[in-house]
Amino acid sequence: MTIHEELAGAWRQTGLNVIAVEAISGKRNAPNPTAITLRLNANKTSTYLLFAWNITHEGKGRAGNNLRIQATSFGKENSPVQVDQSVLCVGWSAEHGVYVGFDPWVKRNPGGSSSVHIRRELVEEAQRSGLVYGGSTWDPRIAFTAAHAEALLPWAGGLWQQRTLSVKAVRADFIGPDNLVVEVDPWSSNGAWGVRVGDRLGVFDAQGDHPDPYLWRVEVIGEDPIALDSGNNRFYYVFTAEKSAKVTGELEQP
Amino acid sequence: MTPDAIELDFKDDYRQTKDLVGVPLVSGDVAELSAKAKAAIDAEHLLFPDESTLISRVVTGLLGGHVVLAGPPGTGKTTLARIVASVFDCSCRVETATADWSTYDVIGGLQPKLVQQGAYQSETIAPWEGHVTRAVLKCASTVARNRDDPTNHPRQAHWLVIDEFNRAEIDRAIGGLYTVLGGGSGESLKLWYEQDAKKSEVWLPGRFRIIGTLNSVDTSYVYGFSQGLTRRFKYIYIGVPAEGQVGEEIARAVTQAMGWLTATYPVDGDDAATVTRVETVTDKLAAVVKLVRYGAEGVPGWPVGTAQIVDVLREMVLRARSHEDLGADLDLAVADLIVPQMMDLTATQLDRIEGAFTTGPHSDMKRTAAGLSQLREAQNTSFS
Repeated sequence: MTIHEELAGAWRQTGLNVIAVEAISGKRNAPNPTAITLRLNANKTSTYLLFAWNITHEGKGRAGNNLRIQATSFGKENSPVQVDQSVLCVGWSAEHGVYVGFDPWVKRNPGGSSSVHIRRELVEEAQRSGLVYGGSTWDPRIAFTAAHAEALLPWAGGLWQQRTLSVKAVRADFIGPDNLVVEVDPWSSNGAWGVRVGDRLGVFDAQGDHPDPYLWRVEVIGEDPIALDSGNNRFYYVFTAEKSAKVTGELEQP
Repeated sequence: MTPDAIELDFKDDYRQTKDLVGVPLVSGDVAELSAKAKAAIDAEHLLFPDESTLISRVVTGLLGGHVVLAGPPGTGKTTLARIVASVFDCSCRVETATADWSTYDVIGGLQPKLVQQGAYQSETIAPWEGHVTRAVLKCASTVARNRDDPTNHPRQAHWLVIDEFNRAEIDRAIGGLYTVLGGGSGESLKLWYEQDAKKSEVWLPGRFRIIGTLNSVDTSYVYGFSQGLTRRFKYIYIGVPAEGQVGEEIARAVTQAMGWLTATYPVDGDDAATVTRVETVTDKLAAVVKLVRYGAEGVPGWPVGTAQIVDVLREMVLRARSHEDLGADLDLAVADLIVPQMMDLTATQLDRIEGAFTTGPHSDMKRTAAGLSQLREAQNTSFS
């Protein structure tokens, strides 16, 4: 069985009504993504597109504190899937009998790396207790055994709740009183990878000082390619945002 | 961490609309607002009967709550609604009510939505905000931005104009809004279809207003109101201008028609000759309007609105660019644009009006008389 079929089976065991499991490619040897349809009630079904990979060791020369998922066949270069609430991404550790979910939005544009790093202790804790939440706010993880498989769905839905991130602006252009175009280097402002349309930004200057007193709701996310002296190609995120709220408390430092 | 903040856009969290319930309109100066309204009406070359009283009634009505403007078609109700919204420094959106309206249209509900994933398609159910809910949220955003930064956001609120208010069965369609419009108690409008607790109810900002317009003459396809709903709106009647105002009304209508012509079909040079030619038939038009609108001996009146006069004059200015003698053209325009408005009159009424166009000073208007004759025969036979 594929990891996808195993997880669908685990959902059935926890009481979810899985009515269809079908690889989009139509081939069991190319299961990413697999469409899994759940019947929620007599009138409503919900279909998820599940991507799944094996969790492996990080390889030679590493301390061994982390495991990883090589999320090949994901991201806009490899699989032109529109990442939305229907998309789920998990890794499977056969050694621990544990699934690990991660935020597909963060890896939609991996910037050259398809690796998803997972702390080994998170997986081991899930092996003991059955269900653990970890990672950071902007790159979260959920680790669970088959008995807790249903926890993946509300966790994945929660990823789409509005969040607020403080960012250092490489550049910020105000367009009238209510609109802002801000460029952010995701390599120096890690949370930027996870910013979705609808999230809000607190904007600091490039030195991380002088916060703007407003929160800006992201309406469009673009990219500005940057050629580094090292020859690596990187990009800044270009967030087009609308004034959304006025801060009365303290903004978290970026 | 989410910092403490004052919401300005209300796209994702409606809870702080509650803080705007007690925020009143910026000014309660009836005299100043009325003067601004009078200036705006003059700038648009409009004319209303008993104008200064009408303006003060509308202004005081809106300072106190929601308003319905009632009157015959073409009397400028919707235009006046837009003008007073602007005078109060409010943006507005006009929605036209229909018989199909339900609480879904007014407040909101769930609607199916297709989600495309490459070649794969799935269906989901998504919330849809109704006209009032959308307007309330936009109003809340406008109020919050105005209070935060009045220099860059001079609009103090956003209002909803519901045109043809009584085309909808509004008592049924208004649902939970009925209680909220009662006002004063800080009741929220419950949005049952929103699963997100932050969006499950909304409060009407103190600056929010609904202006309804309703046609009090053509009642063929309209619903009535309950007394309870009537209490929630101030009803103001707008009639046609008084008989003594017709000359000025037509002069302003000519200006409006010329404004439309030059903006829509501009030509090189000025249109002074066009205006001169049209002015050769304005006395005749005034006489026809007086006859139809106020009645003559044995001829009942029919409240033809200024908008219909402007429609006639648009045809006149169009034709006057290439015609000198507009007498026959006026007859055609009245037959095509005024006569069909009279289809709700009884056969007896039509018979009397037709008589005024077959004998006497208007007997040269053969097309108008023929049009009236056709209407009358349709009334007699039930065929049209």
